[in-house]
Amino acid sequence: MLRRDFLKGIALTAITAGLLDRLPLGAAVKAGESVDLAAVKGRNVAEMFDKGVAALGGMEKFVKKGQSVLVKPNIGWNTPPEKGADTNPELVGHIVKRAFECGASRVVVFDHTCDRDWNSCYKLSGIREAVEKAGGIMVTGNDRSMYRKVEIKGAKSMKSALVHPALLEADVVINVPVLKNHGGAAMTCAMKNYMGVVWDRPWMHRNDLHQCIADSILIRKPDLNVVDAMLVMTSGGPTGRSARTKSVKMNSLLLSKDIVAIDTAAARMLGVDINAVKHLDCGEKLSLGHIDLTKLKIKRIV
Amino acid sequence: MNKIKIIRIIVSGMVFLTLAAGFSGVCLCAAQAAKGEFFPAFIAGSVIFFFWIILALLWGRVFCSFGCPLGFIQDITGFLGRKIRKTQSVKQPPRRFFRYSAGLILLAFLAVGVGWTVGFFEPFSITGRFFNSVLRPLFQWIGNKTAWWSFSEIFLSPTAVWMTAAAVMLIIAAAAFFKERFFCNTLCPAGFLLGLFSRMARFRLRINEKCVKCRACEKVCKAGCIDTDTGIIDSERCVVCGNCLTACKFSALERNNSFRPNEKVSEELDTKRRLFLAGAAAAGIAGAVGVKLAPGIKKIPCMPPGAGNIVDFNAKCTGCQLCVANCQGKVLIPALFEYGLSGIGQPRMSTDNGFCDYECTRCSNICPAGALKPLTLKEKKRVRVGLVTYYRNRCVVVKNNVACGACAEHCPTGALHMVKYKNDLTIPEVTAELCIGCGGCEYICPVRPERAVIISGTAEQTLAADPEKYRIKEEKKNSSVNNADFPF
Repeated sequence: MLRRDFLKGIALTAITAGLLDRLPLGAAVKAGESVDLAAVKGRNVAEMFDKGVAALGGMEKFVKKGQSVLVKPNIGWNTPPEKGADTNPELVGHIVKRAFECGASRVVVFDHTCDRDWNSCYKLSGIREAVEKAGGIMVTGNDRSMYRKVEIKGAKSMKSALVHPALLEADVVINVPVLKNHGGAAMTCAMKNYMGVVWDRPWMHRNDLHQCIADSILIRKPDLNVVDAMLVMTSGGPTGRSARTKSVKMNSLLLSKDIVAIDTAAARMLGVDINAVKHLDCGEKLSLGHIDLTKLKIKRIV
Repeated sequence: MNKIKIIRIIVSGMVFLTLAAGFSGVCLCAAQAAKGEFFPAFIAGSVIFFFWIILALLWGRVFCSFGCPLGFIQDITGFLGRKIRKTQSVKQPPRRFFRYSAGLILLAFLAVGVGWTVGFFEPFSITGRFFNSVLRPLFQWIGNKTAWWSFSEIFLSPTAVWMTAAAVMLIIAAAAFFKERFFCNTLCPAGFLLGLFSRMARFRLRINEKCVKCRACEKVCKAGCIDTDTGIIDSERCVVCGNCLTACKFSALERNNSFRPNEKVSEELDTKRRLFLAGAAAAGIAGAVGVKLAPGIKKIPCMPPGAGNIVDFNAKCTGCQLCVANCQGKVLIPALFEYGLSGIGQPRMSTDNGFCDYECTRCSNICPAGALKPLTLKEKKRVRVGLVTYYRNRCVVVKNNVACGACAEHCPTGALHMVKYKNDLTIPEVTAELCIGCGGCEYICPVRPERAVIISGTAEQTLAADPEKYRIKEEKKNSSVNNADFPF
């Protein structure tokens, strides 16, 4: 993150906040009504989540007493939080905390990390500390023997896959991706974050990646998606290490049940062509959600 | 029990457990303890080497009983042997001639630059290979079977490697069961070297006039180096275990107080034998040169970062596998014949199970023999261990017209990045000056049987371009994203 970008981000957010105050936002949304997609801007990621989830009808709508919860962040890389390659640890910890407040019996957090030492990824990303402080359990996603073979009904390319048991056993699944540019898939967000529940990712890369990403959602649709767009890699993603990496502070959070819609909104923020992100189209064809955002009730909270 | 024996048991047990923890791949501090081992310190030329030599000059082969992990294992099987076989140790012939020949040949190999040969007989490396290739997977397996969630990925070394490690340990442990410190006084190069200094150890034990020749000490001597008939303790073979001090009821053992070697050791080396030893050393050098000049390798493997030059690396590495055990990227494996005959068992990079972690400098910083030079994280991020080649005609994007980009996703420096291909597809492109050869791209490339990105090793590790400087050049080309509003 260069200081210039940081300052730019701050300046832009300030201007935005000033402008948006005067605009009649959320006109279609009546007071007290729950919306399909909440978009929140702010500084404090915990407060932003609370505002957003309230707009969606409250955390109690998603997590009921005694349920076991899976929170699936992106912990793909052994990088510190300031790189923006992994999901914001504060956000993940806060979601775990909120889930327990709603009476969750157990909150499990994992990712099948890309870097080979999952322990270091959990540690350096700050997610382990945040989750364990909130009372959640971190489990590994890097042991093949844990994964179970699952038939995927309705899938077009990936008709069966080895899937992490935490996904299959959870009553509630909360998908918490971080929005990033991606060299191959154009963008990585909510749908692509689901690759972390599948063991054989090279297979997905061989057999039409975009279709396989959409197919993977069919295993078990997440009950809630929370997109971390606080610090967004706009080019040279997704590890944040590349000489070509550029990041922008967008200070935003998106929340929705609709995984295609939330990714479409995220793609707009990233400035990528919706048609280039083919898994959105694949997802809509599998009835996973909507690309046309006008069909959704959206609340913007600035 | 006397003090020496108690301290010896506690200290050697602690050393053994610390090293075991170091080889578990979990505790990096414990892995640093390997630097205290005698033979790696000798190769690295570190201060620790002189520490053990000074101890040898004062009391004898203190290392063998206090600091040697293989000594500890032999003490356990030897103890069991004594209890189970219900017989006691007997004095052993000095085998001085054999020991000298073996030691000189191994040192010749080391001098000529075939480090693994010494490592094959060197106690720390023997134990290390056993820890990493046999015990570690075994413990991980037990852990995974008993834990609710599974915790570790188990990687077996190549079959030949772990079977050799197990067999060597079995033979040495079995030898100790029958003859206690037999290995230490025949093949062990550390024992040979320390013995040379222990000959003149100032405070070595000697038998005084109170001796009644009851042979109580002989029967408990692990090295079999006490001869009550001649009244001589061969301090060259004595491992300073303290057993004899406990056994003697007549206060017939006391500390010497002179640097002068014993006048008569039961087997003297006459001129003829001296000549033969010179011959052995010459043969060792000839053999080592032969190995060095043996048919070269076609493809140079990627060496761990910090190895520098392949010749230096092959010369120093004893193949203890400490780096393999601690590799965060799971990329290091023991080589078989990838280095030819010059580096059997030395670590190389293999992208079958992983790739070099960008944020990790473990291997270079824990290498006890100095075969890997310590690197800071900043240096390591630029050390080039290999170079990528992209085979466009094999690539899944070109062959199947589908999106991929897995290689670029794993590239830490941006050397391999995606550029526009056709329609909305992107295709990899290589900026060679940024490539460090970490193997991330090769590891994740989904194309089989031959991958579309291949890393080839370099004989001399060099520095890749600084990504930070590169970043400034690239920056102007990129336009920033509008962040003013939610664009939906």
